[in-house]
Amino acid sequence: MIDLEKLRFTKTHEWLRVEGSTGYVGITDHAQKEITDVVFVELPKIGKEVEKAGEAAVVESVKAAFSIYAPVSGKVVKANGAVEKDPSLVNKSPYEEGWFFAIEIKDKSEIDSLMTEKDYLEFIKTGAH
Amino acid sequence: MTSTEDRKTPLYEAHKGLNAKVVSFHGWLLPIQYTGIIEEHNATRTKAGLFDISHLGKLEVSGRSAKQFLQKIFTNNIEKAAPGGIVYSPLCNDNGGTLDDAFIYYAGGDRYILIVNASTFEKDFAWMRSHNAEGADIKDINDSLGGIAIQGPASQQILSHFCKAYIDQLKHRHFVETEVDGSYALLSRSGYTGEDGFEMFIPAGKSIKVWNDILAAGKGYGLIPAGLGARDTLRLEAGCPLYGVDTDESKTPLESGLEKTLDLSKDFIGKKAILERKAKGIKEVLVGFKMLDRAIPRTGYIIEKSGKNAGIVTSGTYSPTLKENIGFAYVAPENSKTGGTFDVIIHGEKKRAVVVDTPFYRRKK
Repeated sequence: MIDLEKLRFTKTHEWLRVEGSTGYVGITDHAQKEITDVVFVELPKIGKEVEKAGEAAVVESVKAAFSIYAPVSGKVVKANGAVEKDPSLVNKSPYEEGWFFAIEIKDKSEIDSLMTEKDYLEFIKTGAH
Repeated sequence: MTSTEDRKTPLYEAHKGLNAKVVSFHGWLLPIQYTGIIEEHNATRTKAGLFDISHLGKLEVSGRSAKQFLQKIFTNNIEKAAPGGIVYSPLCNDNGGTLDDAFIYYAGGDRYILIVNASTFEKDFAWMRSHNAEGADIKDINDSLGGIAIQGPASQQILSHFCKAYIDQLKHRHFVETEVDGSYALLSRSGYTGEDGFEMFIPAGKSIKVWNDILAAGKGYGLIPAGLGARDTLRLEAGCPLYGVDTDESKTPLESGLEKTLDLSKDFIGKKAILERKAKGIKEVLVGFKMLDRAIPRTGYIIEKSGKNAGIVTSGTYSPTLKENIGFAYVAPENSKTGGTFDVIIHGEKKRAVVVDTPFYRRKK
């Protein structure tokens, strides 16, 4: 099991898991429930430079398309092929098998601007989304 | 987000109890999903799904001049229905623009029941009252009735537990006024999913009981509640256009592929304008298409042919049954032939699509 306390969260409902200088990115359980059944995922190409809060990927549910924003700036170093093949992993396992891509983090201080799990839960509870 | 103005259907508390995700839909609070759109979609195709259709607009038209009035308002010939029959028809304004599409139930004598879209109910009601020189009696019966649809191959088996009528003998697009689960029901064999199924309108106060009883009895057959999300993917696969999305007042039935619902042997509001437009030739027509490239078309996406703007997508989705991406679009008649290709601009890129025949999905009989 993933320890959610170690993740960091954005107001646009992405999570970031930091391993050394690499950051894995996915969407939260709350987000996957809101989006409904994910049927298509378009991931960034490896080597692509992404900006913090810039669009990095697209997920499409039965209902609509949603942009996925990079929680921090950096270069894309991995893309999760499994989630392209089986987009329902985003719904089934949002924090583990359903990750989208990993970034070589450019500036680790950007992580500090993200929310902790406690902050994020408070954020979605107050309905400020 | 929901607004305080939104109305609750008689089944609202049942949806809450089932932990449905409730959204605002044309002024009504309705479930978009219970367990998941694809699961609900697949259950309806293979077993059965139970839908809240209380939001549909319900009107009763009666009186000696009822038939004359309805023949003038609707483009289709309502005399096609014998007592117990249902006719589908657009209604148009003077310019031939489509105000709505409706199901007209002929109850016999001078009595008709009209089922219209939720989004257009007020507009339809006002339009009818202001075009009623015939003096037909037009009654709003919206609040007195809740609505439930059971759709899918197991529908008849499940419903037969609750019905006095011989529903196995009820033909498609026919109805009976009967009892379901001990309550009055206007029960028709009809639906909006491409499956066999039934729609029933029952007293608002009895709706929750009927809903709960059918759901409990249907469990063993694989029946689950299904929301608006599945309703939309099911109707799109079945090739049913949705008013307000695939057609509206800017389109006549000629453009929206409903020419067969125009009875030119009688007079009706909008006929003159429609005939003029037909003589001149229409500029666009609704077609079904599927994506050749891997991408999902959505409402409002632009269509291009040889790099030039060539139309617009009105509905689009991933099709859970066909596992393809499908949609409806308006294109010029010369680009509407089956097998013809065009590009849909999706996330800034050209993605290839091909015109196909509708329905996209046809159930095996």
